[in-house]
Amino acid sequence: MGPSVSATRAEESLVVARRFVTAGIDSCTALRREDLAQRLHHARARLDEPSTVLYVAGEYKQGKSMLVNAVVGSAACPVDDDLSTSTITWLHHQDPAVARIRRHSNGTPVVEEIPLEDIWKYASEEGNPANHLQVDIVHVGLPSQVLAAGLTLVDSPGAGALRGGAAEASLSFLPYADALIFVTDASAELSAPEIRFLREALDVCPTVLIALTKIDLYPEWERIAELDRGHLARFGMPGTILPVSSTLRLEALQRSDPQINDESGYPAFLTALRTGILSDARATSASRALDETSRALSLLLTSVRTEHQVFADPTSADALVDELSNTRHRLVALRRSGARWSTILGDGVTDLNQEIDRHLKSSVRDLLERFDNRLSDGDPTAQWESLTEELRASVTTTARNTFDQIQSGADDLADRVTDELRSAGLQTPAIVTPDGVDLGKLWDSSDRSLSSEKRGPIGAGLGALRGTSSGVILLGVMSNLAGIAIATPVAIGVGVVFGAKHVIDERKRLIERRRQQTRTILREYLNQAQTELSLESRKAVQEVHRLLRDSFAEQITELNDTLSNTISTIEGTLATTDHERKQRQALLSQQMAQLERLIEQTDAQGERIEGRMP
Amino acid sequence: MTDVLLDRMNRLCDTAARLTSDHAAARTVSDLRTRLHEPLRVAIAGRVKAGKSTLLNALVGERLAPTDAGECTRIVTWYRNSVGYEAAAQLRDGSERPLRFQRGERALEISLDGLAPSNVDRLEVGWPSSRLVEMILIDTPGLEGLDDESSARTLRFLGLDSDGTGDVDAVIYLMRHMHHRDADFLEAFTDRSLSHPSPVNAVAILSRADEIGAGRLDALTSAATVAQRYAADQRVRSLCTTVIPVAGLIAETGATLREEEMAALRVLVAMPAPDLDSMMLSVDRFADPSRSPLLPQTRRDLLSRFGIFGIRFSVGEIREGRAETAADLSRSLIAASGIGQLGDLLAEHFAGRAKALKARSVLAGLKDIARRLGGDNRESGEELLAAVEEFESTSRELTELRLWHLAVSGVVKFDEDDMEEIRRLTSEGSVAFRLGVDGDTTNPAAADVALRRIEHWRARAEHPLTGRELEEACEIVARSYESLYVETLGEGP
Repeated sequence: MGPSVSATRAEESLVVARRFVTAGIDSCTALRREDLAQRLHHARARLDEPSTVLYVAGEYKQGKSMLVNAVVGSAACPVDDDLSTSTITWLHHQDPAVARIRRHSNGTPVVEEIPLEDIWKYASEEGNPANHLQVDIVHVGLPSQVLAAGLTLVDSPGAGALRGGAAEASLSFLPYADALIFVTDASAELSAPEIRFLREALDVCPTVLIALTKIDLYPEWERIAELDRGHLARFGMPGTILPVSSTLRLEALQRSDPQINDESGYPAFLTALRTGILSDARATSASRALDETSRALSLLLTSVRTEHQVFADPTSADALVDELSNTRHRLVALRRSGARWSTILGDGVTDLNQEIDRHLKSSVRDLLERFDNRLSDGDPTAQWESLTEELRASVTTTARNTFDQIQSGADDLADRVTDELRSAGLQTPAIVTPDGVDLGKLWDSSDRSLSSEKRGPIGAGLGALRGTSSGVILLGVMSNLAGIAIATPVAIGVGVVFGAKHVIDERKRLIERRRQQTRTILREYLNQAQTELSLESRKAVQEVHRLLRDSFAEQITELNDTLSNTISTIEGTLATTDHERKQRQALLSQQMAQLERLIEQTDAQGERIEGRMP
Repeated sequence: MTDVLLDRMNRLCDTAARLTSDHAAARTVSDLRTRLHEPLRVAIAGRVKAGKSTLLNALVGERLAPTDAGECTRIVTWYRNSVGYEAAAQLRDGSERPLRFQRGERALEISLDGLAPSNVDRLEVGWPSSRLVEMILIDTPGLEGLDDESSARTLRFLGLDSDGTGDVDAVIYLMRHMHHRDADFLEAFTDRSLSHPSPVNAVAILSRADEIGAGRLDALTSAATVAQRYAADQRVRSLCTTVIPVAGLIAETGATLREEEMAALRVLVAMPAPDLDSMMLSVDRFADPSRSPLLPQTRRDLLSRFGIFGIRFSVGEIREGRAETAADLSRSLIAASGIGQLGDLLAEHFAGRAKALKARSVLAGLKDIARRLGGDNRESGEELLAAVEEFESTSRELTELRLWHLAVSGVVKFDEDDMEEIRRLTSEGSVAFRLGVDGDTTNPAAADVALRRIEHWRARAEHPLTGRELEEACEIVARSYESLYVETLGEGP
């Protein structure tokens, strides 16, 4: 089987994008805008490593971790016959290998590096039962050929992954993932809960690969695959079913036996990953790179145009220089710490924090009330399962709302600051959304968990809270919430040795006691959830603040540099001879035409690639 | 010794019949009474593909229930002991229709004769089998399959839908992995189908144990660890007596192993060892035509009969010289499968308490009838309810079930010696056996033992540090010894 059309096209897109970015870099260098050239250099580097996030989900004990290990060809995820993964494990390419955990210690999140062989102590039920170490995320960087293509695999916790709070967490994360790998084993057809989960997942993440695992074990796997295809068709769900055997794959890797490897189904699985999923991600990153190139070129064009205008009408030069200098002065003022926009930003963040806290408190109060009401009739132990499931789901929804609130609050703030700058006479370009976030940098250190090094791979801008990273944080928080243990009220039996009348009284009394106990448990759980959420949201808001501030400050600096550059060029121009001027003017016209053409072509390519994307 | 419990139950049914004589419930009462004289009804339940039919076949020792990799058992089917072979459909409208059937290679093939499955309430299969004498085994459609109709049917049958009490006395619940749906199921079953929630009538099986751990040779050891962990879990203990691992397929094949299958295995073992090992890496390799002199169809048959684990295991047994004949291998398979432990468990927990368990179901049914009697019959209803509740609080067997519940569910913590004593005391054995003395009640030590035990348990009940539940449990034990003491006097020389 040759590479598919879409894969070829995706490769083409990358080649085209690389060509245009390089042309953009050349233009920037030629016009002595090293700052813009630098930015495009980064864009080109990212093109070579497009980031794709795959979320691995499925029922308990279907072989999720085995699949992840088989894909990366290493025993990174702990696998056990009995116990299962208790926290999110997230793998990407890194050489040399490294493992880190982000966990809570006395309520404060910390990031620690751990030895690779100790991963199981944090990520499995065996080493970390019920996640008592309060690990949010285990992060593993591995030198792996498969991951080097820009893949990030997120292995979800196993127990009851398709239900209750855990399912909510998965569904909350999925919009940020490029694709879902759904794992189901070949022992039986897809079950009703599995189908339910898939249907919901498809709404938020349209690309799904279904891995039918353990085909080395079940003789009837082909029939099961057929039945599953039938179920998918019956519910009108897309999704390719790919039969695999992780046992055979690991055996093949150990023996370096290509035949067993083929039989394991993994070569076909990886091809499907490349053509079906990676190619989409490539097209996206190609289009983003073209976009960025176009923006840099536009900045260049502005400055060439201004200069050209001065040549066309030298009398306007003085006025222009005056205007530009004025603007520069304003920019310098804007860069001071007391500038109005930064006050607006600071106040806005304080308001946002308060608003979120208020909203959280009232949500938790409402939940308490709702569950209190539910407890007022009936025996709480009889409905305990559904009660706790509903409780978890409600808390997860609250968490999700809180994050939505932070995002829309951030958008709002960005708009307000842009307005303010505009009213100060500055046209700032729209906030830049950077492309693929490098998840590997996310948790590098605790106090800068989201931070970018200057112009680092995360890029400056709001996007860091919008893209995958936000999803990962949200997923971490949600899994943590889902991990908060809800105590079980002690089942108190009713004795049969009493007389009938006595039994009824006794039962009433016991049920009242259970209700009280349940109420206390619910309160404790909700309080803990509130504390957790409040802490995480404060951190996120703080991050938003820093990102916005840096982003605006950078734009102001960039604009300032452009202006100084233009002013000095104009001043230089005014000091030249007629002959030189003529030559210069001709050059500028030529440059203008070149830039205009290049921008036009870049945009056209970008649109072409976007038009082909799903 | 006369059967006190049965007599009393009969009298209670008389009362119920009198109170409902001019009411539609009269028929239900008569059905309930019949139930007292029938074998214990044991349902095999669990999620889709948990291996219910395979287990049923393994328990009966014949391939009766159809097994299939897809969802196949879609109608509740009762298997009971009978003189001749027969099959019939009980229809929803209450009528019965005999069905044609033949004994197929893989299962009993029953023809529905054009009946729509939705009109069929259940299938009844009569089969002469000593294994069905003490229990009626009931195969149920899997829960949570995509076929919602049959899933709903199982719930209705077990009494888990919104109304109704169950038709069964006890349940063997098969789970492949413990996730909370399984616990839900057990909880619902113990809650609603019985008068008091209790694990006394439910055992759980970690089924398809051979598949845990990717079918490696240590799969069953792994499965035992998993089962132990489940069984130690307080939540599980409050739902079922215990959890044991059973490899149903291995048991079924062990019980029905054929000579030609053994011959085929011998051909395999004769192959060069590296070739055979490489062939046993996966099911596809095993069925690959180029890999062995055996016909591919024969190998596919072996796979469906043994599974890859069963083949690896059998090859090992033959290679090591532990199985030279089909009979040897059959024994090895059965021993490895864990079905023997299940048999012991059923004998102890179900068959050994059959009378009390049946009484319990019938009482629940009567209570249900009493609650439904309204309007003009309200007074009858109240009278019936009072009679049932009085019965429940005074019957030794039922209070002992309560004791057993307290002990096994872990509500009351007893040590192993206590548990052993309670197990013996609450069994349906002879008075001497229950007292733990040799011989029969003529043994002069018997009365003495009874008195000493009464004293011991009373003292425990009255100890100031004893909690309410423990006090209740100790009281029940003391009272059981009291009734034994009375019997030692009555049956004295």
